[in-house]
Amino acid sequence: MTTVSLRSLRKTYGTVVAVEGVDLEIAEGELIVLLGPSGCGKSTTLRMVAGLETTTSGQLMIGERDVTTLEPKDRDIAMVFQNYALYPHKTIRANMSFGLKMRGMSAADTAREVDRAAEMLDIAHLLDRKPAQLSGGQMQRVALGRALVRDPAIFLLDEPLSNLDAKLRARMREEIALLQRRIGKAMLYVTHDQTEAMTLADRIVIMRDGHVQQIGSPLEVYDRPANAFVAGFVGSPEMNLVPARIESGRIILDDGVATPAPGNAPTGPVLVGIRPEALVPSHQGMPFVVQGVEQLGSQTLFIGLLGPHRVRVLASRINDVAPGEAIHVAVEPEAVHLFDNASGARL
Amino acid sequence: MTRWMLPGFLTIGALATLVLIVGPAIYAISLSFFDRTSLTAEPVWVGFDNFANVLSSGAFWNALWNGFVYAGVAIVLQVVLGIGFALLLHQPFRGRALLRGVAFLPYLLPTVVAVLTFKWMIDGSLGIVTIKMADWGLPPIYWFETESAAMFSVIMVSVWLWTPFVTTTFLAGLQTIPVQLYEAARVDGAGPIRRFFHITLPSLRPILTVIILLRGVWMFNKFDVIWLTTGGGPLGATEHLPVLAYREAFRLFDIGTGAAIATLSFLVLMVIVTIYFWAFPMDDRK
Ligand SMILES: Nc1ncnc2c1ncn2[C@@H]1O[C@H](COP(=O)(O)OP(=O)(O)OP(=O)(O)O)[C@@H](O)[C@H]1O
Ligand SMILES: [Mg+2]
Repeated sequence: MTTVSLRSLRKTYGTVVAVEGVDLEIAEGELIVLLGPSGCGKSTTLRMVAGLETTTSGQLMIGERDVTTLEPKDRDIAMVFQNYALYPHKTIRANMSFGLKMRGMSAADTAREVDRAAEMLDIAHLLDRKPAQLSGGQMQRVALGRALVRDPAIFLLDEPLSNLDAKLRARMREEIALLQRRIGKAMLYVTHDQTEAMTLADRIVIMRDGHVQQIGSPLEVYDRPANAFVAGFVGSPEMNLVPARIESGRIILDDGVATPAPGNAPTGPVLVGIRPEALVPSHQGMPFVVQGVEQLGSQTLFIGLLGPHRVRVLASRINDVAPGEAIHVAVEPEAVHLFDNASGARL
Repeated sequence: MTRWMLPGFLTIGALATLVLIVGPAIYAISLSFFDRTSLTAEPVWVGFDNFANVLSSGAFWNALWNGFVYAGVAIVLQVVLGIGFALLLHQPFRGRALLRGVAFLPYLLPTVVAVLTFKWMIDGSLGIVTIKMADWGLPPIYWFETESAAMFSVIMVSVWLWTPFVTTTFLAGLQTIPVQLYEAARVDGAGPIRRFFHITLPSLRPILTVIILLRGVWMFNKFDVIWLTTGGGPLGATEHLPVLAYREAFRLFDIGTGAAIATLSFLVLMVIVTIYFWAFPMDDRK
């Protein structure tokens, strides 16, 4: 069942097009991640759903209602801001109660709801403090709590973890995922971090310059990127993208550097995408000159030259290859992505 | 070298304070214990006589009361209007920068010029206000000459002169409030009025505390507006402590009484400021 639908949502600021026609159906309990580089229109899209930004054209439905022109408070949404936006003069309890109070909930019910959310987020002991007396991670929890008490149709989160250190970010990410499963409400989550997107999302919406590039589950997006941009943006380390041509069933990167092409590959110039982990060091294959070695513990990342192109190779741990050495790498034809040379679209 | 810098600067600071602030203050206070008809006359020690005389005179209590009314009403109006104008000028609209500049103009005028302009506008026979009022068939009002209107008039002139300062200060304060707080409040369902009372006002509180204190003290000691418009009259209706002290010391040549009034005024202010600090601590992080 659909809770929220974005229909050709569009936003322009004067001549600047921030968001160009986003279409998206969000199902009940679904966690959607809006992913893309800085300035691609993620926040603008989210803020249009929130009602903090007017829509230039298009329609927004929440439940059965057209809410395109309604105030945020009338939309049945709750939002978590990037910088938390906790009311600095109110206690944590007052921060979390505010939205309920504004909606006329009785003091007793409000207190109960706040206690329940605080329990869930493990912040019950902080309720009497002011925001300035909390750590970043605690503020983050309070911001989540403030959204949680409201029990809305959809939660909107704009880069909620970007102010936390790497460790805490990973932990909060897990917690948000668990929490969202537990309460079973839809969530629209904005981030520019592809790891967050991959680990959290039921479906990822990838945007670029205001345009949606692809919508799909994390594995769909990873396995079958719709174009070269998505291919390069999703996955870490980044996919290697090199120009090549296809001749008689072979991908030719450069004279002398070639590898078998996947079946039904068209002849002619293409853009070839190979994930670093799909390139496997072996005795035969393409010659690869190692320039740099990064030991990651269980894996080893090589940076080097494949013909004239710099690429990355991610292998399981190898100890005895040093920069300057020449080895060979091989790739399965099925693991090669082919994109149109000009448009970047998947072939 | 650096070892001597801190003690050195401290000594210089302490000496400067002694010579420039504590010294004159003690001298001024000491004047109130003497009887003296001019600054060159030989002083005669009279102990607390000057204070006794002042405290038993109706003029002192009248002036004290007038001072409270003048400072109190003027500060309330300045703050209320100042916040109002600041909120208006904070809204985005075409020509905002220009209007912000214009709104600050009164503060740049020398008080004398402003007061003369006012007097000229409301002149009993030639003033534009007087003529307009006559045109509309309204009876003339003697703004500075009748007891009932004079206090109102001096307060209005003061409010006109110094509201811009308050407006500008609040405007600066408004710009420091994160927009996200207002957005969060909108999502939480708070309308404009609740946003004002739950976000704007608490955020401005530190500025408000300082402004009320500074403007209050300033208005209580403000001499020129009243002196230039009514001179404390008519019949003492606008006479407050600074005017009374000045009149005693330099018009009636009773320097001892003038100094005693000034000393008492200082004590009154000190008590009020102490209570204020206690009631509204500057550090509100608790
Ligand atoms: N108020 C505005 N006026 C004009 N242009 C704007 C305004 N707000 C956003 N834009 C433009 O719209 C585009 C999308 O902005 P948006 O904030 O949605 O990006 P984003 O994807 O959230 O980026 P980030 O990851 O940096 O937060 C940008 O090009 C931005 O410059
Ligand atoms: Mg953003």
